[in-house]
Amino acid sequence: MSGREEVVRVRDLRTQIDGNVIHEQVDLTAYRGEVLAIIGTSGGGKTTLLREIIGLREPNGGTVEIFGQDVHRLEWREEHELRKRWGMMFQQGALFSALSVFDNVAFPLRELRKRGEHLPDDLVRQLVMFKLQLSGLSADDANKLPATLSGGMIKRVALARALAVEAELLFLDEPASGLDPETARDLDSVLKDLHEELNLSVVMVSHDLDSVAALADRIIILAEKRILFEGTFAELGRSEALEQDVVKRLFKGPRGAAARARMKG
Amino acid sequence: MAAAPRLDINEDGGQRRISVLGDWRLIELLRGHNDAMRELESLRVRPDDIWDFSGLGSLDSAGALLFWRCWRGQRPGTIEGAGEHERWLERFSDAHLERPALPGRMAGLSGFLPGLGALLAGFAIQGYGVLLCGGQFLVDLWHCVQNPRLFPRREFTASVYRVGTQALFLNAFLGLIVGFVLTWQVGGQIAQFGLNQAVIGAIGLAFTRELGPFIAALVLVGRTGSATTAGIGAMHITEEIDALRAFGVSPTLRVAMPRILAMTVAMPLLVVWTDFWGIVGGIYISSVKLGVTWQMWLNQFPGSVPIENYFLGVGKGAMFGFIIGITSVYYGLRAPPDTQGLTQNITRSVVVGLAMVLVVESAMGIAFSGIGL
Repeated sequence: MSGREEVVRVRDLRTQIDGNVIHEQVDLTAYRGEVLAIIGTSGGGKTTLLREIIGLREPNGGTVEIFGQDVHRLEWREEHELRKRWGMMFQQGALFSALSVFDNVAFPLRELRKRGEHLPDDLVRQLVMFKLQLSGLSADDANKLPATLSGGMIKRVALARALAVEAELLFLDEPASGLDPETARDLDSVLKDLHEELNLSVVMVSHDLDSVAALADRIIILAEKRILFEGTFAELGRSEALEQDVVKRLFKGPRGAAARARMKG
Repeated sequence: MAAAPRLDINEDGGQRRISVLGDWRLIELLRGHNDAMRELESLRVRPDDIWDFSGLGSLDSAGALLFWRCWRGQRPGTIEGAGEHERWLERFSDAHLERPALPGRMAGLSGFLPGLGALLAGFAIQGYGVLLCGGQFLVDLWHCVQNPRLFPRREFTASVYRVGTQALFLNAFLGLIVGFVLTWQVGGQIAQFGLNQAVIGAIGLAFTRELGPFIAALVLVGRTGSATTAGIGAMHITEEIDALRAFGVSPTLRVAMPRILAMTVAMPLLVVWTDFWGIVGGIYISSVKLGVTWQMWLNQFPGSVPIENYFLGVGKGAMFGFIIGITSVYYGLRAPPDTQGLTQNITRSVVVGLAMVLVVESAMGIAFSGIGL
């Protein structure tokens, strides 16, 4: 693995919220072109970790580097440039409620400019319409407002928006949560296609083991404030980490079936 | 790492070979390589062109779309070496890339008249809504009088604390300043005629009758009214109002009624408090500047300011509290669950609340001109 380019590198991260320690000595690495899934129990600080990686929250200690640059120690101009290189899909969608579906997806495209040069309007329009259909929405949905959308549609719009600029790196926070199994599978296959097509690097946070098993190349288990395991499913199958109670519980039951199947190879 | 996107066009005996080189990705295209994009946009396709993609580094949908646009939505005759990138091109062929039309807006007079109509209808609907909200408040209150156990005590006391207790300092401060300034200016005029002690009646009347209720109403609209609208509006966004309904709890009884009642009850008390500090300001300035001591104030106040004025002011306070209560609650309950709608409704709540206070203030000024003066 040492030869591969690192896109995300977290070292010795420490988080404390209201006196409670959430993470301690968290180290993780994501390589170019892989799908890395961070799994763990609910309330285990997965989303907080993701927010710290993309610089929305300052960690209490440690470093976060994306494309070799320390996210939390950049000049604002450099940070601005860096931020254009990744897309983020929030758990609740985080759509702009005052903008239509179309304008939500067009937003990051319109923000992309170099020395005042924008993308031509008609190119933006076609790209947005294409992204909407790529995410499984129909052309008629373009003029709707977020308040009129169902949960599944909000996720799809959020995905379309995260994909809009086709950044090299995509962060997904619980992409499958709140979706019915079929919609979740659709979304998984869209993500898988895109990942293969664009050689995207994906860092996802999820507790949905089905979608993790379908998408992830490597997994990270975050529990009890630390990283208990980092590696592929096959490696997990042979790992001692599997002996720990937290990890056992995570993969127990019918929901872990797909993941267990991958561990066996 | 990434190579700049570019086109290499070779013409050989009338036939062109267009070699696509580099990384045709949105990020690359914008990284100062707009030239490649422009070149492709301005390229006129010929049916016998050969498109050679074997030198292509990577392609994303934006890059693929540029080619698709250049080809006017049709695959050209010969594509070489596209390999896995073909998939993008296939995707475009059955994609619907045009945005459905937005409902058009009418221009000129034909647009102005319906717009005006909608505006007036909007006013009428909102006025009716505020009235209904007031009516619902009375219904809910009557309901609680009949079944005292239904009365939302906790919400009511919390609202009184927010409306009243937390506004005490601001009201006192504003009362004191207005008291200082008004006495300074009025006192100067009165002193020219040697009627220094007339300041007691002038300031006393001004505060108990007009300024006390008005300052308290201003603070209530700006501080509590806007916060009430925003708070209830946000409860729509987080679906808390729906949750109340789902549990069979009336949102008007649990959310609207205690807030309106708290404003109606707290306002008269705030008026007395503001009156007090305004008059303290008056006493201080008049004793320093006009030689009218606080003993003179105590002696002459009851004679100069008939007690009716005090009750009138306190009554006005309750009235303003009720008006601001129903407008702020109405606009909160009617706020659409998005940021723009909420912002608009908070603005309306403050504007309508203030306007109604001013209208009622003037109407009461005329109606009660025979009392207490």
